[in-house]
Amino acid sequence: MTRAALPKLRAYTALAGVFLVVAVALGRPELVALAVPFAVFVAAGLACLPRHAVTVERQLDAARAAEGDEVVLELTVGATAAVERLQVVPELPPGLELAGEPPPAIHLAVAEERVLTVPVAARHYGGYRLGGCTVRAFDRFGLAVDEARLEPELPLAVFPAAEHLQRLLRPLRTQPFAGNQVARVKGDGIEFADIRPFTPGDRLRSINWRASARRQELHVNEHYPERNADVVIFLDSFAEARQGEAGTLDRAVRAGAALAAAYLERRDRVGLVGFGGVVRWLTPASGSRQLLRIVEALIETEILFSYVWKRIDLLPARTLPPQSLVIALTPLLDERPIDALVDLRRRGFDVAIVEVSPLAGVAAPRDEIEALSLRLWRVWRGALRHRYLRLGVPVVEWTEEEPLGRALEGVRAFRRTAARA
Amino acid sequence: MLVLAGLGGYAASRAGSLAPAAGAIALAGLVGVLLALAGFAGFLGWGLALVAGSYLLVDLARSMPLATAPVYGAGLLLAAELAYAARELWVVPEERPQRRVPWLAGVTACALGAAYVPVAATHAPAPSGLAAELAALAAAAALLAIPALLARRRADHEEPTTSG
Repeated sequence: MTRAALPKLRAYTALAGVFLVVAVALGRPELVALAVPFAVFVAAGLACLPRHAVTVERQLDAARAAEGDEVVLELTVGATAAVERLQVVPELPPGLELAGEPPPAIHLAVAEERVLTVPVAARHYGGYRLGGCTVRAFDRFGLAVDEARLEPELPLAVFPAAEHLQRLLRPLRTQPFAGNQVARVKGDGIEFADIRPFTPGDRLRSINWRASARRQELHVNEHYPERNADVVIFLDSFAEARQGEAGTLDRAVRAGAALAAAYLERRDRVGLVGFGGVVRWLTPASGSRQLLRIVEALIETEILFSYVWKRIDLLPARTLPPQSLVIALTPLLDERPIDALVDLRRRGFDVAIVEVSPLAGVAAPRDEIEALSLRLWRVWRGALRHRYLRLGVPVVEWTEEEPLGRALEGVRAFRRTAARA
Repeated sequence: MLVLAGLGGYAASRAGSLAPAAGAIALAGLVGVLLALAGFAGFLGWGLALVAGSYLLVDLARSMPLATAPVYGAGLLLAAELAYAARELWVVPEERPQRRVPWLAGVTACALGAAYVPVAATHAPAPSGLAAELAALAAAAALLAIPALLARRRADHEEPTTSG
C-alpha cells in the first residue's frame, strides 16, 4: 500500500507553525496556546500511524448478464490490524454503473472480516472485467491514508438486449435437414401444397379421397416439407456513425443478437461474419451454445480503422454455405462491405440488406455548402440502394425509431413484389 | 460552524477599538470554512487561520486575554475537526458516524489540557542556564522534525493480498 499525507496534516502543521512563528515574532504567549493543540494533535497522530495490511477478496454472482440486468459484486475485506476507517471505491468501466449507493466507509477490528456488496447495473453490452477498486485505509487522526489499487480480474459478459422478432425473413432455399421453415419444393411434410393424380408407388395415406371421388380418379395430396435453413449474419464493422452514446454499430449488434436468437429458436443454423478492420467468423451451427458463441462474438465487435482492402475471398468456404440466407447489417458507409455484398449476390447467395440508418447522427447543415454535401451524400446512398435493387438484393432502411421487425417486413414486401414481377 | 461563529463572535466583542477589524477577519474566516465545506477543501486552513487572526487582534487590543487562549485554541481544533469530519462524511458516508462523537470530545479535552501547559508556563519563573538552553534546542529540533516527517510521507508498504 502507498502512504500519502492528507490535507489535514499539512493544514494543522502549517497552522501550528504560523502561530508559533507569530508568537515568537510578536512576543505573545497566547498564540502558543493556540498552536499547541494543533501541534500536539499532529505529533500524536504521526507517532500513532499504524501499518495497515488489508486483504480484499472479490466475487461476482454471475459471469453473464443482459443489458439492464444487475449483478452483485461482493468484496470481502479483512485486516490483520484494526483499521479505523476503511473505504473501498469500486471502479467500473464505461457501460457499467453502480445500481445503488457506493459501499460506506467501515471500521474493521483486529482480524475482522466484512462483506461489502456492490450492486452493478449493466447499461451497455460488452465484455468487461470487474472487481477493480481502490482501497483506502485511514488512521485514527485522519492525517494519512494507505492506498492500494486492485486490478479488475472478474470477467463479465453483458449480452445485448435483443428485440423479440415475431416474423423472420424466409430463406429462398432451405437445407435438407428437418426444421421449421416450409420448403419451396414439394416433399414429405405437413403443409399442404397441391393435389396430383395417383402414380404407382404413392402411399395410400396420401390419397385425397374427396378429390378422387369428385374426379373419378385417384388423386394424392402433395406437401411442403419442413426444413431448416442456413442463415449468415453479416455485420459491417468497418465504419459507424455515432452521436453520443448512440451508434449504428450498437444497433447492428443488437439486431444481430435478435436475429440469431430468433433463427436458432426455429432450429435453423446460424453463422456470423464480422466484416471490418478485423474479420471474424463463426461457421453456421444450431443450438443454444451457438447462440452464446454468436453473442459473445458480437459483443466483442468494435470499429477498428483500417486501410486494407478486404474481399469476401478472405472468408473460409464453409463460413458461407451454399444456399444460405445472408442478412447484412450495415450503415453502408464504407466501400469494402458494399462491394463484398455485391460479390456475395453475384455468387448466388440470397442476400438481404438491413441498412442501419446513420442519418440520425447527422447534424443539421449550417450553411449552403453543408446542405449541398448532405444532399449529394443522400443521392449517393439512393444510387447505392438502386444498384442493389437492380441485382435483386432488397435494401431496407432501419431508422432508430422503428423496430427491427418493421424493417424486416420491408424486405418481405420487396420479395413479394419481386416474385410477382 | 456554530463553534467557529462563537469563536469569531468572542473575538469581535473583545477586541475593543479593533472590533470591526476582528469581526471582518472572523467573518472572512467563516466564509473560508463555508467554502471548504462546499467542496473547496483548500480554504479550510485559511479559514481557521483567519479566525485565529481575529483572536490576535484581541490579544493586541487587550492586555490580559491569556486565560481564554487555551479555550480558544481547543475550540479552534474542535471546529477544524468538525469541519474535516463533515467533509469526509460528505464525500464517503460512514457506516457508524456516531463513533466520532467520543473521539471529538476526547480530542477537545486533550487539546484544552495541552493548551493550558504554555499558559501555566508563563506563570512559572523563567529557567536560565545551560539546561534551559538545551531544552530549548531540543524543542527547536522537535519542531524541525515535523517537516522532515512530512517529506517522507510516501512510504511503500506491502501490497494487499487479493483473490477473485
